[in-house]
Parts: sequence; C-alpha cells; structure tokens
Amino acid sequence: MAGLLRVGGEDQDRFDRSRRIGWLDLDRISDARVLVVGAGAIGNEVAKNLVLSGFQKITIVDMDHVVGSNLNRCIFFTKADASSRALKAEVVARGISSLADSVDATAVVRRIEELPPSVFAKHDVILGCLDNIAARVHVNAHSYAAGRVFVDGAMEGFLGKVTVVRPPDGACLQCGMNKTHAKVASLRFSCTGKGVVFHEPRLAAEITTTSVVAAVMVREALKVVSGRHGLLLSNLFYYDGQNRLFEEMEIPLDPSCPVHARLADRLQVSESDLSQWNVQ
Amino acid sequence: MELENENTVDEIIESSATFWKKDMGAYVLRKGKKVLRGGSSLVDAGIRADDVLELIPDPEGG
Ligand SMILES: [Zn+2]
Repeated sequence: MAGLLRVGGEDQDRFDRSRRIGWLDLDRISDARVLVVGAGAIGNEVAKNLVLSGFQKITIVDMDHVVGSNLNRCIFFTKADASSRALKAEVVARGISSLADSVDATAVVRRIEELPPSVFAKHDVILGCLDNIAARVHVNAHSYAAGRVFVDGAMEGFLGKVTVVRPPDGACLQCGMNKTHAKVASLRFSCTGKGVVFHEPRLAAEITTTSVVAAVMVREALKVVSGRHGLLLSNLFYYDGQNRLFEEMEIPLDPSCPVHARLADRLQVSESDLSQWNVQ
Repeated sequence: MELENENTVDEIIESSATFWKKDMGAYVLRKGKKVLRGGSSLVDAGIRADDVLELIPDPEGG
C-alpha cells in the first residue's frame, strides 16, 4: 500500500548502502556516459567498479584480444576467452552486462586513435586504462580539447598512479612528462617497411595494485559526475604498495605544454602536434 | 650527485637514471609534493642547495 514502509525494504534496494553516502548523486551517475579506453587489467577492474557504483552507460574501447597471461588480474577474462582469442572490449562489455540488467555497455573494437575526436565530447568523463604513453597523450589532448575530465590510471608491479586532468584549468597529463616519456614512447614503435609496429612490453603486473588504481579512478569519476569537483585529487595519486607509500602530488601546469598552447590559440588538436609522441 | 644551477630537470633525470643504473622507462623528478618540469633549470624550478630531489618511476602499464 502506498505510503507504508515495508520492513526490510532497504535490503532489497541495490543501492541502499550507496545512498547512505550523502554526496553521491545516483541519478546523475546512472545517466552519465563513461568512456573507458582500454580493456586490459585496469579496464576490467574499472568497468566492474563502474557498474557496482551505479554507472550504466559505458563505452569500452580496445582492439586487442585476450591471452593467457592476462588471467592473473582480469576479472572478466577466462581460459576459454584466451583460447578463442576473444576480443577484450566485447568480453568486458558482456561481463559488466551480467552484473546488472540496467547496464548499457558498448564495445568498440578499434584503436582509440581511429575514432573521431567527437567521441570524447559525447561522454561525460573519460577513464584511461591504457598501456602506453602515446595513447595516453592522444586521449589526454582530445579529452582536454573536448572539455572532459580525464582520469588516467597506470601501474607496473606494485607501483600505481592515477592522474586527474580537469580542463579548462590546471595541468594535463603531458605537463608532467619529460624526455624519458618521449624516449619510451618512441621505442614502442618501429617501421617495418610495411607499416608501423607497436611493441608491447611485458611489464610486471598483478591484481592488488590494479585494484587500488581502478578503485581510485572510479571514485574520482563518482566525484566528477556528482558535481563534487572540490573533492577531486589535485592532481596525482602515487602508490607504492611495496614500500607502503600513498601520496597526493601535484603536476604544475607547463605553459609550454602543447595542449595548453593549442587551446590558447583556439586551434583544434592536430595530428602533427602529436607526431613527436608517435601518436598515429 | 653534484648539480649546477643551469642543469635542467631533463638532464638530471637522465644522468641520475644512468648513475643508479635504473631500468629503461619513464621517470619524473619531484621536490616534495611537486613534480618538476623536464625543460626547467634548477634555478627556474626554485631549487636551492640542500633541497632533496627524488627520482621516481612513472609506471606505463595498464
Ligand atoms: Zn599540459
């Protein structure tokens, strides 16, 4: 009967415990469109956390397929996926759809660089779950130009890092890069005569650090979508799980960073600007 | 390491990574809670004698 409270009703509400966090705006969270770039280890954890947190409209971009060595840290990948060389974006989209009926997951089996720049403006927040610097530079520049908050996650071994980029003010990911980043980015690519080949390094990786990074990333996305920008990391979370270190650091804005110079000149992102980073 | 005022952060990162035989990869130099810009000199970055700078790896994986 209307107006009566049913004893124990709150235990049937999927988000009852989330609602008890006063500032979480679950209506906006369920309406928000989230772009997850990369469906590897961090992408799996981020996608899982997004759905359990109430996000429903999720686009997952990745062109790669599952291999056996992914299975120590990817919740949605199975041995059968590795055997069949299943596509990561599709497996993750299926996996999160099984967590809640309301999920509207879209898998895009392409490199992010192949998508039109308009894809960034069509989403409310961008979560970078990438495995290389060149793709990060690309997503950083396009997210900034589209005016969308970009939350980038990275890890290696027990080291993790989350960077929050908030256009139109403040530093971007590239502001914190130096010559070592350019050198690593260039080493990942080589010309074979028939095209450009990407060399994927076999980096140390395990689930506990992946989980920490993904948890921080999705919590930042919750703040963005709930309108709590004042609570956001400013602007780097650094985690060294081996040496018991958790720190917030600051990347200062670099006036010579091409991302800001470009905006100042009111120019669009051009591919030539990104060429030094081997962004295709 | 002995550093000069005109040394850039990029130069310090490269020489210290070599000196300590660090693995190939991306690194940043921090002073306290701030990440230092690669192109800036120690003077530009406001670094003084006895300041402690720390070289930290910048993870790439995902
Ligand atoms: Zn920048």
